[in-house]
Amino acid sequence: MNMEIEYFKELFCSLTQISPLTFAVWNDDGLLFSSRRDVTDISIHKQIEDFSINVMREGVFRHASINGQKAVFGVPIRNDEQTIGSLLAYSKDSNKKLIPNEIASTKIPDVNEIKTLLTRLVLIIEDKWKSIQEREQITEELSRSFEDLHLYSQVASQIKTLINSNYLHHNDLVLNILKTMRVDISFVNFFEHEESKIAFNNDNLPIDANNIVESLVKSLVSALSTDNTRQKKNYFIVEDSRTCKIFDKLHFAQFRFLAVKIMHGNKFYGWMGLVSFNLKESFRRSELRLLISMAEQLAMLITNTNLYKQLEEFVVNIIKTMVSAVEAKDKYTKGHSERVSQMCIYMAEYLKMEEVDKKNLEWAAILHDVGKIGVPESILCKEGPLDDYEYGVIKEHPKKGSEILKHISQLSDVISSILHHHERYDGKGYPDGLKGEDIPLNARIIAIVDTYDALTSKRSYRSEATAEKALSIIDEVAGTQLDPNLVSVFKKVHKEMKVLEKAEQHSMKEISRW
Amino acid sequence: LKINKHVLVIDDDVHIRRVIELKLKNAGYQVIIAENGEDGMKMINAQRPDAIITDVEMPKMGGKEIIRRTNKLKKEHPFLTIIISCSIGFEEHQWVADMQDTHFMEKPFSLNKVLECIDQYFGVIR
Repeated sequence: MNMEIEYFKELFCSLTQISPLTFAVWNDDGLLFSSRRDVTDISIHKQIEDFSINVMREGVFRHASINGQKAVFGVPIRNDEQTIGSLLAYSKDSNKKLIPNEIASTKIPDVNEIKTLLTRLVLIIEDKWKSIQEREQITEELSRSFEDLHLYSQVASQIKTLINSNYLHHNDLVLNILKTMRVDISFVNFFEHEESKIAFNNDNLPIDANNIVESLVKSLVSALSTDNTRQKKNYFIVEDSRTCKIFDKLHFAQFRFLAVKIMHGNKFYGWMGLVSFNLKESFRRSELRLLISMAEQLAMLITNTNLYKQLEEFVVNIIKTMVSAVEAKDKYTKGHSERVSQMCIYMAEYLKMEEVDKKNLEWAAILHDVGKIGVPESILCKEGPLDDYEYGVIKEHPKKGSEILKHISQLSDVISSILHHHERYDGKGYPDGLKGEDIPLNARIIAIVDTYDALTSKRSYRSEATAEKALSIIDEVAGTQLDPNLVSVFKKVHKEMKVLEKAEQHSMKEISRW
Repeated sequence: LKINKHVLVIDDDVHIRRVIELKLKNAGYQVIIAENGEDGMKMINAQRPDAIITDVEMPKMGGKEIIRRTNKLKKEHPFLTIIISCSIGFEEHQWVADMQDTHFMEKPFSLNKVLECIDQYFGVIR
C-alpha cells in the first residue's frame, strides 16, 4: 500500500500554526511525517514511538501524557480492516489541562473534541489512500488490457507464421503470448507436427531448461489428449497441478496450466497452452477469452488453407489429366508440358517474379499445348515431313488452346501466354505475328523452354539433341526467334538447374547407399 | 529499484497518462506529466527530461511539432523520444527514421514494449 502523505502536509502544517497541537503520521517503519520540527521533540521521540505502537496495537483512540508534561493523542489508520499506521497529535508545550485525569479522563471536553478531530482527519486520509489504491488497481487492470489489445492487434499478421513455419521451434506469436500473459511457458501444438512451438521464461527455470520444458509440454499434450473426460469443453484449466493426479507427476515443481483446443467444427488440430509456476496468481477471464479467440482464428485459418489446398489439388489433377490426354496422342511428347512448366518455375524464381505472375506462368506452361487436342493424330504423329496443309493444322493449336480455356475465368490472365507461345521475337511467328516486347513476357519464356525441351526430346523423325547442342541452337536463334535477354537468363538458369540435378542425383545415391 | 532518469509523458488522454505513469513508476523511473503539447514543450525546456513519450494528435501542439522542435535541442542534450499514434499507415515510419533517438509505436501499444525501449536506451537490465 502506498502511504502517500504529500496531500496532507499542508493541511497539518496549517493546523499546527493555528492550534496548540503538532500532528504526526506513523507506520510500522517509524515516523512518516511531522507537522513541526522541534528540538524538544527529539528527546521524546522514543516515547511517542511507543505510544504510536500502542495505538496501532490497540486499534482505538488513546491518549496519554509524556513525562507528565505533554498530552499525546492517537487514532489508528486502517485499510481493508487492517491497521496500517497512526495519526498522532501532541501538545506543542506543556499543557496540564489536556493531560488525562485518571478519575474522569473522558469527561474533559477538550479531549473529546480532539478525538473527534483526529477521527475525522483519519477518515479523510483513509479515503484518499483507498482511492489511490483503487486507482492504481484500475490502472493496473487497464494496462493489462492494453497488453491484451496489443497482442490481439498482432495476432492477425503473426498467426499465419504458426502454420507456415512447420519446422521452426521459435515463433514470435508464441513469444508475445508468453510476455503478455505473464506465464512461464507458452506453446502451440499441432497433432500433425511432432514438435511444439514453445516459448519460455528463463527466470523461473534452470538455465538449460530447453529439454525440461520440451518434455513437460510433450507430456502435458499427451496427458490432455488421453484424458477422455475433457473432450467436451474447448478449454481446460488446472489451477494447481498437485490437486490433479494426472498432472501432479509431470513436473517436479507445482504449476498451473491452461490449454485451449485449436478446433473448427469437428476438426481438432491441436492445443494452445500456458504454464505458470507462480501459484499466487491465477488465470484471468480475459486471458482465456483471448486465447480461445486466437485458437479459433488459427483453426479457421488451417481449415481454410486445407480446403484451398484440396481444391487446388483437385484442379491441378484435372488439368494434368487433360494434358496427359493430349500427350497420349503422341508418345514422343509424354511429360513435355510438365517439364516445360518446371523449367518455367525456375525461370520465374530467377527473375524474382511476383507470386501471382509465377502461378500464371506455371499454368500457362502446363497448358500451352492443350490445343493439340484438336489436331488429328495422323498429323501429330506423322513420320517424315509435313505438307503445307498439315503444318497449317498444327499451327492452329495455340488458338485452339486459348479457345478451349477462354471459358475458365480463373485462367483469363493465362490465355494470352498460351495463344502467343509460338510468336517469334522478329515478328515472323504465329498466330498474330507479334514482335519483340509486344509478345507477353510469359509467352516469350515458354517459347524458349518449349524449344529447349523439344530439341532435347526424341521425335519420330529425329533423335534427341544433347543439352549443349540444344543450348547452342537456342543461342543461334536468340534475337530472331527468341528474346535474346531471356535466352541469356535461360542459359544461367539452365546451368544452375544442372548443378541442382547433379546434387540431387548425388543425394539419391547417398540415400540408396544407406 | 530507483532509476534517476526523468521521463515526461505527454498525452491528452488521462487513461493513457495514468497507465504509462504507473508502469514507469513501478519500474523505478521518475515520471512527469503534461496534458498537451504546449505544456509538454515548456516542461522539456524547463526540466530537460531524459526521455519523452508523446501522443501525435493533441490540442494546442501535436507530437510531430514537439519532435520537430526538440530535434535541434537533441544535438547538445540528447534524449529518447517515443511517439505513439493511432492513425493507420501514414508516412510516420519514414518520417520518424530521420529524427535522432526517436521511436514510433502504433496504438494499441504494449506498455512492456515501451518499458523495454526505455530500459534499452538507458542500458537498464532487469
